[in-house]
Amino acid sequence: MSDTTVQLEVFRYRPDNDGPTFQSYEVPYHDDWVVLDALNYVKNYIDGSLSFRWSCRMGVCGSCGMQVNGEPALTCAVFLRDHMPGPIRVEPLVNFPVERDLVVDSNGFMEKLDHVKPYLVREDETDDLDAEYLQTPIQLDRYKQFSMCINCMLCYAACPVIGRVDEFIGPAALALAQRYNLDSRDQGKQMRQDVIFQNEGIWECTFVGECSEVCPKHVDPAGAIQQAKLEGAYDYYKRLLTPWARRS
Amino acid sequence: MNEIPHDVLIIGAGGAGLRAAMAVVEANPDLSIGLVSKVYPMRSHTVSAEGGMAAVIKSNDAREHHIYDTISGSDWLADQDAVEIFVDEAPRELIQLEHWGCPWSREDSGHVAVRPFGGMQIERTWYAADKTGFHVLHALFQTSLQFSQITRYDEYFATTLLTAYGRCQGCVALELRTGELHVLRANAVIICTGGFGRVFPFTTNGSIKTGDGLALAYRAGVALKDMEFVQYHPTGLPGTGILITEASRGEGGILLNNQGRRYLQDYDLGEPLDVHDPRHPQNRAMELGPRDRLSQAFMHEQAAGRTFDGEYGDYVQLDVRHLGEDRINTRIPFVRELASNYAGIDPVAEPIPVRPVVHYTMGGIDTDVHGATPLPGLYAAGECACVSINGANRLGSNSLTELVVFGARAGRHAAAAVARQQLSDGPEIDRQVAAERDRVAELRARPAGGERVAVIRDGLTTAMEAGAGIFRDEDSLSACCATLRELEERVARISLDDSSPVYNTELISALEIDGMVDIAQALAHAALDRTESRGSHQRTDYAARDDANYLKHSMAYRTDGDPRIEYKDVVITRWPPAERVYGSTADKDGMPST
Amino acid sequence: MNRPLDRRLGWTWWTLKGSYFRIFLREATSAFILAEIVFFMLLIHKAGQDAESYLAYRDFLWHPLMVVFHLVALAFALWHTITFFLIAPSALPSQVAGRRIPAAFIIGQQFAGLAAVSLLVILWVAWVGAT
Repeated sequence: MSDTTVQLEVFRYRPDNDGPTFQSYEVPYHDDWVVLDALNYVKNYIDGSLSFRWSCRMGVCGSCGMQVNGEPALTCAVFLRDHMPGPIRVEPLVNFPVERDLVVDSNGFMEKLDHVKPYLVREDETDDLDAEYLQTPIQLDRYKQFSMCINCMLCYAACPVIGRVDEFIGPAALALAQRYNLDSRDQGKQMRQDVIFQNEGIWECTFVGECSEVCPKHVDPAGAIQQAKLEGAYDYYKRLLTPWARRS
Repeated sequence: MNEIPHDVLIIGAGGAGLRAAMAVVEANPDLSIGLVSKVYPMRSHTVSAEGGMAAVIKSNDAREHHIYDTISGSDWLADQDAVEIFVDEAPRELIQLEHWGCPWSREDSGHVAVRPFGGMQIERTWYAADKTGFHVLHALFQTSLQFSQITRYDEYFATTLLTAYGRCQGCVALELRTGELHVLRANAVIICTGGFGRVFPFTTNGSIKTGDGLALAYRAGVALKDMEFVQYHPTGLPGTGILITEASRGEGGILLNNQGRRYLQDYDLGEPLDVHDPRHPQNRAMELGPRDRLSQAFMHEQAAGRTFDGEYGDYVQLDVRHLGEDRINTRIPFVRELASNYAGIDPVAEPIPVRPVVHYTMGGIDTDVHGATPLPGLYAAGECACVSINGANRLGSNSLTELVVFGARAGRHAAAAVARQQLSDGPEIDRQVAAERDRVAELRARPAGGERVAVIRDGLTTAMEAGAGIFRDEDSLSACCATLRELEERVARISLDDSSPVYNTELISALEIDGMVDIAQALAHAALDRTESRGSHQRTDYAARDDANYLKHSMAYRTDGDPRIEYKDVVITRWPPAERVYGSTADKDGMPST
Repeated sequence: MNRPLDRRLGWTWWTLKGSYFRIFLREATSAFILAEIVFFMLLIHKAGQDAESYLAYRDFLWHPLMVVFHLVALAFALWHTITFFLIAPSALPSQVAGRRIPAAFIIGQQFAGLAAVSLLVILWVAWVGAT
């Protein structure tokens, strides 16, 4: 506890008003406060009109991603103490349309998730619920890392390709596709590959790697994309060199 | 306002809501489903569940054991017919999740692995490391994307139910993006909005857990059942209230007071074994006792001055160091991440400071075993509902299982019911819609200078902690009820800083707090009227359990004044009430020795 | 009402942050490598012609400014190589035959491979020079 304060410079935007501005707020400084605590202080006791999303405040619901001093971050995981003496600039995630203040439009992101068919595809006719599909810890380990994504969208804000190529499916969704492709229980890889490679965006990824840098869950989507590219190239040449082989 | 028709409307898209939606599709693929949620589905609080899900699958286990553990854990307040259904349907529901891609932790053989959990005599908790809820929610959500029958209304806040001809027929929902009100019509509505831990100041619950669905049902005349039973989880981080999962104790973690003593041995929870003893941790003993008993033990230690003094109140220590870095990393990696990020402690090297924190609300919307409420057309499932399988105290790892078992049951039952029903139109619906539009418009139009949402919220949570915390008595509860009454009047004077229609989150908060004060009154009055101690409801002025008068569910009905509290008998099938015995006085089956 | 505000990074993304700029430079190294390949192709072409134009071209390559250019190109090429090696592990599947491959092993193998190829080239050049 202390009597000091810190200044927040918060991005404000209302679609029914004029263009965006920055508004400054003076909030109490606490050693163990995160940026989200400071935003909540503003909303609760200074200015109730500030809009932002949040829920779990423990880094797993993925709601509270924003730009903090220019870097995409979960505001529930960024401590004020690491940005003292301030001021601390809080903006909505870049690369997304801003709906209001710190709230971005995530519908495009949701459509991209949907695009990669992120669910187990099985050829079985019926679902026998008397026994689980077997999967060894080694098989689990192949895709586990890519299953840790919380859909916080920080990687989309960090990706320069997203900022130029609208149709790019993007880091999180491609990592999710890879998560299911690598799952030993899944039989839908070909279907998913068709979706991924129809899209030229994936080849525009130049392995900037910023998506993996900002990922709070160490999913490494950049790695997932390169692996997907490698497999795509392999499939392409295999098909080119063995035109007589039927695609499975 | 245009009306959008569906066959089944589901409010809330967490574990229960998503499971219910897919159950409707399975039951009848021709039905159209509207899935309304105030957040994107994967933000729902199911995501924060850590430890695991209970179901009998291993050969050393049996349904009788799971049933007995659940009933004794509930302090005999669970309905036993519901518990039997719950235990019987749990394994198939968990296998269904497995078939939907949930990355369960595995044995080398490829079979699903299980771990011990508090209050369970045999290890039966399936887990995905210590992010079980996260993986379950994402598996459910991602799987649901393939069903075109499900239309999602993401970031729509349901403000009221619509009822006509004695039947629930839909709801009014506010679209956050535009601020517009929409009328969503359906022959069946399933509420899956989660619990209401946010009426307390110190909780593991996310900000969204404001009990909105309970308020919807309560205002539509449905009783709220067993509202006085609030679970304190014994191990939350001081300050933030972030949950440190019970799996940390299931894996062998121990609790220490400021003298380094495993103090639980002093509270009828058995004798401690050395942490390197292969039999440690013992099921249903010591650190694997039930949550209510552990949280109460903390309060006694605190009163005796044997807790540590911290900036955010007193705490004890959760020590997992003896597990070693490898086991901590593979079994409870999230515990390490959370303790490092939010308490600045690396559990590999230091004990974690913990204290009891509000975690789960056993009470909720009164439903039967099909998830049906007494109001035709209205169903509820998950934490917002009270079937009841949890009674006076829920066992850890039963709640995620409850989501899918009763989510699926509610979905199937609603699907069968709508096939037989026609939407009844009528001026009554129009009148309700107009009244709701006026209510929201009036709130938005109030002149500045009224009450602030956050100040009301602070008043509410402070009153609840002071009056209806782990230990309660007549004085504390009466004072709480009086404060809540005042707060109800002040809620009507809330005014907003925010005039924009777009993402007016202050407006949503105002609507939430309105409902929270309502359901908090149901809680406080039910607690005041129950003059006994049972499970999580501990009255210092009535310290004993009183089966003669209170082997009953409390039923709170909304009135213009104080809630009206009635009682309903508990369903007892084969397990007559007995003493809850944990630790060494229980025999190896966990049943009390005679 | 205005539309939602567009805040895409756009074409000037590489000027916005140090880390972006370094990635941009990494990609830009390909221009130097391209130039070196063109010079090398020209050298082969000249070698196929008369000795006079070959020697003139060789002198041009030895011009101090060209030497500076070669050094800069070498630095960029090395930088690209090293950064490429360092990120390669995440681009490769994590398991071979059920065993996790440590990133350090993959990185080490690449450097070992580079060293081996470089050594062979040096030996070959030395052998050609000696005969």
